Amino acid sequence: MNNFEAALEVTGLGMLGIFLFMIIFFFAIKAIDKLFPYKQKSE
Amino acid sequence: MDLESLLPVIYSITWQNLVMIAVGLTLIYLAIAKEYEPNLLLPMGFGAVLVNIPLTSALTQIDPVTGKALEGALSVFYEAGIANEVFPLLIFIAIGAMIDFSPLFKNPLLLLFGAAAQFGIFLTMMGATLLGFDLKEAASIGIIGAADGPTSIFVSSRFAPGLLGPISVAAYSYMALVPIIQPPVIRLLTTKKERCIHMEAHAKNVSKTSLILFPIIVTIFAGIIAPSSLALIGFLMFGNLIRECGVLNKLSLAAQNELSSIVTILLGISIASTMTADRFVRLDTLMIIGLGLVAFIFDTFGGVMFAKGMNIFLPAKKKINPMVGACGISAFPMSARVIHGMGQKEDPTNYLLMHAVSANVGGQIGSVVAGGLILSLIPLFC
Repeated sequence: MNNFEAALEVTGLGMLGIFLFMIIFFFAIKAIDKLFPYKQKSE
Repeated sequence: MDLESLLPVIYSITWQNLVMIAVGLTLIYLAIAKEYEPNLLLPMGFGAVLVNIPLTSALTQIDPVTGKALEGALSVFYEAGIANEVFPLLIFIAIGAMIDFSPLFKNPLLLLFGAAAQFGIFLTMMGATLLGFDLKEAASIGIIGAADGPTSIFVSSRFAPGLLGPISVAAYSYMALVPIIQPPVIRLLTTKKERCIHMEAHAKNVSKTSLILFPIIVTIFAGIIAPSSLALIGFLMFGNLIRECGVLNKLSLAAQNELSSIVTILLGISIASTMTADRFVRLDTLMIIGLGLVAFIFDTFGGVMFAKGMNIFLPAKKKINPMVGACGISAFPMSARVIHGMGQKEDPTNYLLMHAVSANVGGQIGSVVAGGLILSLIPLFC
């Protein structure tokens, strides 16, 4: 495999990986926010 | 005794040394007169002058009489903090302590721009392979598009230490030039109507527990998915945990101020130890500088086009101003300020700052994740 083909494959996997990470973080934020909402008195 | 033995520097200096001294002086000028990333460019510029005066004692030299190595301070700093990647990681603790993730909790959807705006990294990497760089070098050049100095230094010190100087100079220079690079690209990709889109405000408070749990959970997930990214993400999140835990205020302030300042000085001047004429005055350097600009342009392109794509599916009231997509580039908080300014110019009643900061914080995470993924993926193909 030449360098360009390898770079193309890394690009596909890399962009997919970043979106996967961010989607997980998105749901993590949603879950944390749901489980531990801001409460005026306790804060 | 002849003049050559009295003033050996004058006789050993080459035109390449003079070019590098001029480069160093230019960096000092840009840092002081233009305030372009002065924290890094000034130490790098001064260091470049230091290491390009022949026979400099700042670099390790071989004693011509005894044949023994005479250690130079900058070479020692390089081995102690750059070659083993410690300095960039310490900077990550400082950055983590400076970042407030609460804007992301207000509109977590904007986190996705932190992914889309890393497109320039990968496109540039492909371009670099076409120009003859090997995969590791190409990845190190592409990571300039992370718009995040420590990530660029971390990746290139592992994959292409010989290119560390030009990559660092390009990364920090273009970060300083975000107000010049991003606006024309955004204007080219968007209509006035799109630039005037008002976004819904999300005024809500975030609990302290959420802010404490976030860095811990991110670290654990990152470790499970890509263990190679753990040093980068883990140190960033450790710094953030120090900030958010509420019981380490003194350490948090120390990380934000003293640690950040000391390591920045050492980082900048140590990188300069790689900016010697033999390594820097080459065609490769010009190509790296050009490719760095490509990376920033296509990061902006990725963010803006992703926002435009999302708008196809979002209801009219929830549309995203595509300019906010461009903040998915890291360059925190400069990019957010630039986009807010552009929004105000188009429509003085449009306040994009909060949304822009959210996307920009997402970009900060995205750039570190991109660096971690590159560290994981590249060895699989080499």
